[in-house]
Amino acid sequence: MILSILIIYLLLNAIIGIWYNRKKSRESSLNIEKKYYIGGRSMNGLLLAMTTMATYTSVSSFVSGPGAAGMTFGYAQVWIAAVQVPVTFFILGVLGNKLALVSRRTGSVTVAGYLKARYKSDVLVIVTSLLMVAFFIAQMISQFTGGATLIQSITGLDYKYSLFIFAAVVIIYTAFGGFSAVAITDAIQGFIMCIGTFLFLFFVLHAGGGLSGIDAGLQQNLPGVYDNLIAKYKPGTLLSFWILVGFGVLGLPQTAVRSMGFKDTRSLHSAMWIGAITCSFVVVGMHLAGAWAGALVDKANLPTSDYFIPYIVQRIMPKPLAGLFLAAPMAAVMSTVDSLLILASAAIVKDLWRTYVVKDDPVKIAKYNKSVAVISPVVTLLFGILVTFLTLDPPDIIFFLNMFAFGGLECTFFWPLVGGLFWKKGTKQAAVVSSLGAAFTYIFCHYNVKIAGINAVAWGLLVGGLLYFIVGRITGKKGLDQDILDNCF
Amino acid sequence: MKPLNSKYRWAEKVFKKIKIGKKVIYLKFLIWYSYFTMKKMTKEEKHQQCMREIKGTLIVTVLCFLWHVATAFILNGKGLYFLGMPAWFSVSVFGTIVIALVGVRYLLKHVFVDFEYDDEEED
Repeated sequence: MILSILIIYLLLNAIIGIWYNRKKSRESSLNIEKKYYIGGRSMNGLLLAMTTMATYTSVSSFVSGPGAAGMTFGYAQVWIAAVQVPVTFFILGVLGNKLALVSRRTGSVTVAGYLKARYKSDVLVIVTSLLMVAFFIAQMISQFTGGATLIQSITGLDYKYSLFIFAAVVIIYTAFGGFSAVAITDAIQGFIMCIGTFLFLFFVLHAGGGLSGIDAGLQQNLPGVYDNLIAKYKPGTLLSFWILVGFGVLGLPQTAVRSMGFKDTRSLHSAMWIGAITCSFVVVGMHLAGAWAGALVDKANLPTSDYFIPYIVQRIMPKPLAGLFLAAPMAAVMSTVDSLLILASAAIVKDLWRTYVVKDDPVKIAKYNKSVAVISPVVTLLFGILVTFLTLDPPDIIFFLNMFAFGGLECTFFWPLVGGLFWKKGTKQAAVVSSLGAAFTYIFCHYNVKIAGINAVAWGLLVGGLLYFIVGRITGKKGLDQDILDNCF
Repeated sequence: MKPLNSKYRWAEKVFKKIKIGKKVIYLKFLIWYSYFTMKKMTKEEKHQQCMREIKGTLIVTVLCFLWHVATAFILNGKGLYFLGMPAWFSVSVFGTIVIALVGVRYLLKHVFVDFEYDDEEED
């Protein structure tokens, strides 16, 4: 019963996604590449807000984070989640207009495309694209695992089949619908996430007997922890969350690329407002309800905190609503995976294949232009299938990559992207050195530097910033090429 | 009269389809209004405007950061309650949300302006 509803929901996503893409691409007069990878730059405010929010929030916002709040950390975990309140409007407000302008002038459809236009450095494009694809594979595997585990725990279906059903739907609508399908399904999933959050908040409050009942329950279940910010976290750790999930998010290519896909300044402005509201509600609401749910069980015999939320939901919600709620984390997983998938495909086809294999040879370009309509979906499809099979038996390097994926992406992209927006002395040498320097510092400090519990990503971004400005000052005396100045400033 | 920007070409198509007396004139007025209120800027002005908007967004985000961290650390361990939750938590988190929402409203009203993006060549 739940399984059939779930499959209908998944199929509905796929159908709407592909239909919407057909409709959009008939309206747009841009070339196929731009239609497929950036949706013909036609997103309105609602779509932009929802897709940015939904891409950013993943399975951890719905399952791991709130579970940890309820089982171990209490309100401190919710406080950490509140760092993400400004995320959507921060990303759109800082990167939005600038990337929209530059990407229109240069015809770029990916973040690497922007970097190529801004720095004209082949090393930078190749290194960042390859690193991005590698990190994306790891992130997709962990999201696929999360999604399949959820289906398994709800329906009792075998893990393998859960994975195949789930992955097949996401891969099909992404491959055949392109960016437009990703955006519209993200919007649907954003709504599902809002509804799920609302339901969960309501039922937890109801089951806990109001706030006073919850407070008494928390006093019993998490004594000394639930009402103390620094019971389990060091102040340094708490502060570094403002780097990791606060300011550092500017460096995430999967959210930054959304700034290349919207229609006009009006869409941007309404997206900032809608994004501020929905992102605050979903992220803080879910974690808050998770923390409150800690009052409901005294000794949950659960292996890890990841099982906490599904367990609680099945206990306190009526069956049909529980099914509806569990669609929310599923939506969070899908909306993250589809964005990673389309961007990985763009990196392979557009940034690497088109730029470095096809090059300027007119015969090859003609051939490429003819076949790009077929190549792009096929690459997306094959890449998705590859990741699905890797998920069944992930090689060891995946665990390593996944541990560093989030911070690694931030360190690699942050300074070339952000510094390049405003600093006319930001040269290609500065960008390459800071990008690699930040990534290496990050991984090195993760193992070797432990000061006051500060997350290594802070050191990575600090060193990256220093390198960017020092190298830029030395090499930027001549100034940038005229066409870079024309396109990017 | 200048030719319509490509973004408003859809409007022309719509007008050709619905010809119901005064409604057309009304709709046309709306579209022209939105066309003329879009600011025309030179490249340099656009860059300056972007920088203003980036600064504004940064200021609001930093305000959120300061409120979020300062109130939580000051009120932690004081044993105060607000809205039925420990005050260090509720003052800090709900205050941050209020600052973010009010800040964005302010930015959109006073700092961000509508302007035209350069039209992409159609290929």
